Amino acid sequence: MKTIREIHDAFDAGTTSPLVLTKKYFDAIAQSRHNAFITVCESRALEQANRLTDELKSKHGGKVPRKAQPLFGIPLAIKDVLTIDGVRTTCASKMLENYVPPYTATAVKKLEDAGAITLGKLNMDEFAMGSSNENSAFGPVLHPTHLDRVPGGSSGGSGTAVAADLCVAALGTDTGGSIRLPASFCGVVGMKPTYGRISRYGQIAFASSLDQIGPMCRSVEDAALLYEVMAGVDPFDSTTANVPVNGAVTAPITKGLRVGVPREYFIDGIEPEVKAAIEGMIEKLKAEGAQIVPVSLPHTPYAVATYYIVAVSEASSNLSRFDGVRFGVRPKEAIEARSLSEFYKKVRANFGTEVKRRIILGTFALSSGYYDAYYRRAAQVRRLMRQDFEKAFEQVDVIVSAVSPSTAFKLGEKSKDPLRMYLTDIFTIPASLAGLPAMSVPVAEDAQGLSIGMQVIAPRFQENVLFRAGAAIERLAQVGVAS
Amino acid sequence: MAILKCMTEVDETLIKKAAELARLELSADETAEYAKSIGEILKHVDQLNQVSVDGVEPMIYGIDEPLRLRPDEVIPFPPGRDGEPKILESAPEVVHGGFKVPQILGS
Repeated sequence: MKTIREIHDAFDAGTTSPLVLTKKYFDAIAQSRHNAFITVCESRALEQANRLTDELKSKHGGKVPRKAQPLFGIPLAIKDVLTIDGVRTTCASKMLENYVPPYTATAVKKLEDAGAITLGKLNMDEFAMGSSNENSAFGPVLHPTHLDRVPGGSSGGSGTAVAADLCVAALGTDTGGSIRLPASFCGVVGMKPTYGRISRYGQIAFASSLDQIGPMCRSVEDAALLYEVMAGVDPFDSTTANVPVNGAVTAPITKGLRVGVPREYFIDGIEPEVKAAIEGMIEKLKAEGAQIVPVSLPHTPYAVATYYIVAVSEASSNLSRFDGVRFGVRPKEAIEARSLSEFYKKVRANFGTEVKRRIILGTFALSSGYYDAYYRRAAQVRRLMRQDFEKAFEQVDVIVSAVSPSTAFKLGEKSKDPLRMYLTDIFTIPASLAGLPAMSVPVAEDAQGLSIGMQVIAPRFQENVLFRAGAAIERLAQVGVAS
Repeated sequence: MAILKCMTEVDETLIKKAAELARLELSADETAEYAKSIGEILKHVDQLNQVSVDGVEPMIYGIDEPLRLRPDEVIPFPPGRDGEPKILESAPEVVHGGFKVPQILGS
């Protein structure tokens, strides 16, 4: 009993119930050493589970109302960057360690309206800034199977919680790869929709032109289910797109599928086992009737440089709201401050090292005298990267690559070298900059048993193609949590 | 047209200036560490000078479509536990049903 469909079959058969399953997860969370959760919502979740268990009998005659509530009784966990009314939301920062928001993120509300149960809030890199989940004020999250390694970031708690069976599925957020990287490292399916597909209302902003919420799950089918529930226009997020949602079809397609392989994604720094796994899957797709097409995305080498100007510039603006006036911490030193400037500085001392680094870099890139040379130029290169994709998608339906040049690395291995850490994201950043839907699907394990994910990228708003290609890869790979 | 070069020398003065603009207080160790790491990051960023961007429109937003405005309607915020406005429940300090802010104009 691993996927949502299997769990619903078990509810129908009466072999388990939302309440039994929820309690089982709280036992597993209590015994886990992964530090995946920041806040556990036990009483709230048990109330939800009790109600749904009653309704299953009293209202639905023992059969899951799959159409009306496709996530009926499914215990999920939510990255702690998304607000839930009355539940502490920290963003893994000391700045918000006491913050209890008065409203619920649209994505979470839609999941709960579809019958999902929220087990708790998941650990992450502070303000979603990181690739290893070592930047949390609540301590690092550990890899699900190799406890001396990182789960990837910034949605590391989500990746570990799904892979270690501490929840059925989770929400992550992705700004430059923060869903796909931990999905790849932890061996689960992670999906970032087209920019504008899922409302960001209630998502604490990092870089507003890049941030997207997405599912992290045990199967492509589960990811499609969550995606379809969450997608759509929201009056509270004016960037949500009024484009019909076409997600949940996951019938695998290979025959005739035109698969683009970008030569710039097969660089020298890629680990041989990762390269072999990706090439092996491309061969399998070809054998199944897919048409493999070499494509070029010539501005790929500039992706990390572009991203780390665009994202930090937006972050420096977004994070200026943490001023200790209306919410968040207000330390004693701030209350005693003698000027407004000093007050702000004492409040903002609660940001962690990486967050401060990015605020400083972004403030610099936007500052007078440097704006044209840094921010404007990066935004221009971003446009060129998007045009690269548009050209490539004239010839192909999807583009595939590795998610990351390496498998999960050791705790501490890159944390003292920010630039080296940033380069971990080299393959995931381009789709983020271009606003494209992309997914990580587990395809193999290296000799140490560490998961290798394949990235699939589709044109804007073609999540249906993304899911069907992802399902084909999943079927051919037969690895990962649900296999 | 010549490609604009922007090889910026990052030193502690530059870090301190940006930190001041961002209202961040840094220790001496932090200033030194950020000067080093941000210097390395900007050295990497300098490779953007190799790209010809003449006439390229910057991509600032994630969407092409114009933003939709929602109707300008009052939606009452639900009351909190004690009947006070709910938004005050997350306030650092409250006084007389409002956010308490510290004195900022000097005594």
